[in-house]
Amino acid sequence: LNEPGNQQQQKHTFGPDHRAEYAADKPMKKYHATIMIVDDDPNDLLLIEKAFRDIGVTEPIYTIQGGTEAIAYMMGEGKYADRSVYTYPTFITTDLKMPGADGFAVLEHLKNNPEWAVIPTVVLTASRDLDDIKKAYMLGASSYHVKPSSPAALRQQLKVLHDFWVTCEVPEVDSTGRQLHTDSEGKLGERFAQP
Amino acid sequence: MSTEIGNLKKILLVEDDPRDVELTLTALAEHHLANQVKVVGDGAEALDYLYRRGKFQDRAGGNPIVVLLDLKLPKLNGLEVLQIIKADEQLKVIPVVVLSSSRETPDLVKCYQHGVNAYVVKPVDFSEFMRAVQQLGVFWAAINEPPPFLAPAAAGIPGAAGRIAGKEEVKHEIPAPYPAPGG
Repeated sequence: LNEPGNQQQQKHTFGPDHRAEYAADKPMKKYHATIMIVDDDPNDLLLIEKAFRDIGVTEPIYTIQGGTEAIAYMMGEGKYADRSVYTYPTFITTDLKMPGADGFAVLEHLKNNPEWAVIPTVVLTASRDLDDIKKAYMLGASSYHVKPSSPAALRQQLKVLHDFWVTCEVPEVDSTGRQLHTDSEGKLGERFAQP
Repeated sequence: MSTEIGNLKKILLVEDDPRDVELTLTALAEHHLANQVKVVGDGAEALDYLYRRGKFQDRAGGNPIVVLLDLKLPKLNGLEVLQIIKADEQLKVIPVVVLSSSRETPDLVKCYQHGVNAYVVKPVDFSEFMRAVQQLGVFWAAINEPPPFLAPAAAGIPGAAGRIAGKEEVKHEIPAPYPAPGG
């Protein structure tokens, strides 16, 4: 059941291993759990992914450069049409200030679509601006975090963030990572009743 | 002063089961968060607190940094409270975390549809319960940026100027039980 396409893409090895230091208790419990990191800065993408790996996170991680690309991914445009490779994310972190579609556009896009609105989407940004914070919550951000500048602080922050989100429930997803249809309660109940 | 911090970082716990209240406060006490918690026992009281009316009309201003909301509550249930919070322009920015004993999918989906920020199923096991509450407390109190408090538009303080710190006592006159949405 594990995502076949992700593996080779995600096999980075990084320098010092901080896993023993943190030892994440258990992976996010949804099956097909997939983390998407959206940021326009490739260095930040690398640092955030590395920090997640350092604290022992084993779920597939997709690093997506920019909001426009993230929306294309969610829409299944172009290469992203292949869901056997580009699984739906079950957890998203997004930067705010990005050229093209920014983090607000990403939030707007996700939260206006009932199927995507259930995906926890947290803001991870350099901005402490109160108007940005307010706007992000208004658009449905699950939580809001200011990126620390040091890698050690980033690891600590992402550890708390991951520990919390692994304890949260989200509706289950099917084999392509897509959330099960939620039109009618009865139908949904039936589908979940199966062992 | 610790009281100032307490006011600035209030956690609103909406829970009718005294055992769960006790356990939650005990878990939060380990991270020195317990004295920031305001406990209310039903949905109607939760709204009174948030709207600063009824017995809460004289409480200091400011929104809680997070609302921990049980689903099965007397008077007004958790889902109804969630709906009212997330449909209100002033309150919708407040993070709401449902703490439920229900893993039933319809509940879960409805909560997400109404904009819940997170949904946690209360673990039955004692130590797991303690750990889950502690993780939750640290997450919302330590690494999350809470939404800025915006004074209700009814008070005639627009935009950024309306932002006040929780410690400041500001009286608003809001005659209606609910502030006009977006008004």
